[in-house]
Amino acid sequence: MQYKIRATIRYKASVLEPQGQAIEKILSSEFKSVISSVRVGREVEFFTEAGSESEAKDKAASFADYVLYNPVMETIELEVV
Amino acid sequence: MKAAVIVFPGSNCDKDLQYALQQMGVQVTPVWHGDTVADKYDLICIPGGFSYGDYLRSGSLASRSKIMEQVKDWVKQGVPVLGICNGFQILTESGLLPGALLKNKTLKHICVDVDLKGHGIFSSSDFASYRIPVSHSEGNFYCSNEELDALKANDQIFFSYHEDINGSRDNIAGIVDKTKKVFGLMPHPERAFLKTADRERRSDGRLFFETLFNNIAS
Repeated sequence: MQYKIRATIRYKASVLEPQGQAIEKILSSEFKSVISSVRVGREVEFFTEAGSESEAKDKAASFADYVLYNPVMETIELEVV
Repeated sequence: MKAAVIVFPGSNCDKDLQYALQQMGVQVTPVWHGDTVADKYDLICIPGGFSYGDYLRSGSLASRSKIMEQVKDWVKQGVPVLGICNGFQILTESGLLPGALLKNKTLKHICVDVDLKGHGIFSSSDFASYRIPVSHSEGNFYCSNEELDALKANDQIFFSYHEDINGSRDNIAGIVDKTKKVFGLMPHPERAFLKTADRERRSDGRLFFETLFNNIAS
C-alpha cells in the first residue's frame, strides 16, 4: 500500500539561518515585541510503497539519507501522514 | 595532459573552463553527466553554473548523478579533481570534500573581484596580491569546529578571502581533501584567464592553473 510521508528539513541550531534573520528585520513594531528566533526550513512530501507503516518509515529514511537532507548542515524529521 | 570537463544540465562555466585549459595546452574532453566514460584522464574538472537549477540544495542533485560514481572511482585511483563554484558545491555534496556551502549571509548573489590569500601550494609570493572574481549565492562555507580544526591541521585551506564577503568560516574560499588531490574553490580562475578579461590586465587566473598543474604533475 502507499504511504504518504512528510519530511521537514531544518538547518541545525548551530547554523546561522539568514532567511529567518531577514524576516525578523522587516517585522513591524506590532510583531517585534512578540516574535523572535524565526528560522526557515523546507518541507518535502512524497509517497512510498510499503507493506507496513514501519517499512514505509524505513524506506523514507533511506531516501532521506540518499538525497533529501545534508547532515553537515541540516536535520530531518519524517512522519507518515 | 588530458582533462575531462563534466557537464550537467545547468552548467554554464564549462566553455570558459575548456578554453582556459586548452590555452594551457591541455587536451580537453567535455563529458556529459549521463555518459559512460572509458578514457583515462589526468585531471577531472567540475565547472560552475546552476546544475539542476540548484534545486533542493546547490550541487545536491548533480552529486547523485551517475558520473559522480565514476568521479569517486577516479579519486580512489588518485586522479586529481578540480571543482569551481558549483563544482565545489557538488564535491562537498558528494562527500569528496568536507563541509557545505550555505546561502551567503547577505542573502544576495555576489559578483565581484575578490582579494585572496593563498596557502599551501598557492602560498608563493606570486599570490601575495591575488585577485579573481566570485559569482555565487551559496558560497558561505560551513563546517563543524572539529572539521575546521582538521582542515587547519592538515593544511587543507588553500584560499581564503581577505575580507568576509559571504559569512564563510575563517573566510575560507577554497579547500583540498586530505589526499591533496581534490580541489574545490568558489572563485573563478577561468574568468580571469585572459588579460583582456581581467580588470587589472593581469591574468591572475592563468597563475592558478599553472600552479595547480605544476603541483599535480610533481
